[in-house]
Amino acid sequence: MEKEILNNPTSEKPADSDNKLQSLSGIQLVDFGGSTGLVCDVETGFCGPINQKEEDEK
Amino acid sequence: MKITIWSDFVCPFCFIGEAHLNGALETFEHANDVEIEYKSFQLMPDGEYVPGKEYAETFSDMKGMPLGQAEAMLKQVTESASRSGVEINYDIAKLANTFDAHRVFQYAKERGKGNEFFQRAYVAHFTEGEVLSDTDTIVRLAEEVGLDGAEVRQLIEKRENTEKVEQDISEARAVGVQGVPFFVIDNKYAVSGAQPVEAFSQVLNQVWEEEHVKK
Repeated sequence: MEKEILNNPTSEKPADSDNKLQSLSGIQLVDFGGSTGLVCDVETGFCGPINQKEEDEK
Repeated sequence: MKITIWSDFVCPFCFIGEAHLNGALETFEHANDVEIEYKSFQLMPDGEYVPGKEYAETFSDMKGMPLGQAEAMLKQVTESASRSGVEINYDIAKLANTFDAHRVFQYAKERGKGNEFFQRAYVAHFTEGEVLSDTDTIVRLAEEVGLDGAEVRQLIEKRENTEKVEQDISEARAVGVQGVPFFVIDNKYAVSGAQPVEAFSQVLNQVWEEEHVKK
């Protein structure tokens, strides 16, 4: 199971960050490689295969 | 083992992802030791129910997406759902703002009914065509999972639990969530999207092994 760091440690934390939020930092995103996972993008609202979404963004 | 899920009632892949996770849990040896906690997220915070308008048309207008692309996306989503044994009926579904429903979800969660309410709301939206921004509808759904309808109505009218919903969404941003559903296992590993049942099984077994066998 390959993993990559999800959070950018240098990214600014929100002003209302509390202990609960801090405890979530450092979570590792599981990378399934050629997975056909399905996700709804928060910014665009587009719902589709993760790989397709990445292709569309190129 | 604790699985935290950021999700929205109108997120089709959250509905499908839940089915996949449940599928993985059915064969997971330690399923009885798994706690699932839902957290609020709004996929379409600007969503608004427009009576008489098709789902695809409302979505297209809201997101500035060509109607044909919106229709194709919904068709693809429906087919994915069908393959997963999940019933999505976009011909009757009503796109709506989910903030009030999330405030009631927070109330349900405090009373040990959060997961039940989430599941009821998925079905209400995707399968039954209910309007999740409608107060009477939310109250009825809450009563169906055993909550006090009068208290729920009062909560909606007084706009209570707003901060709790916003807190969940802030946490999602802090974690770096860019899409939903988003699963976090034991505050250590994250799974983005509705992955196949086999992928969830792999993660569950690996995390369990790391935390129990290798100690």
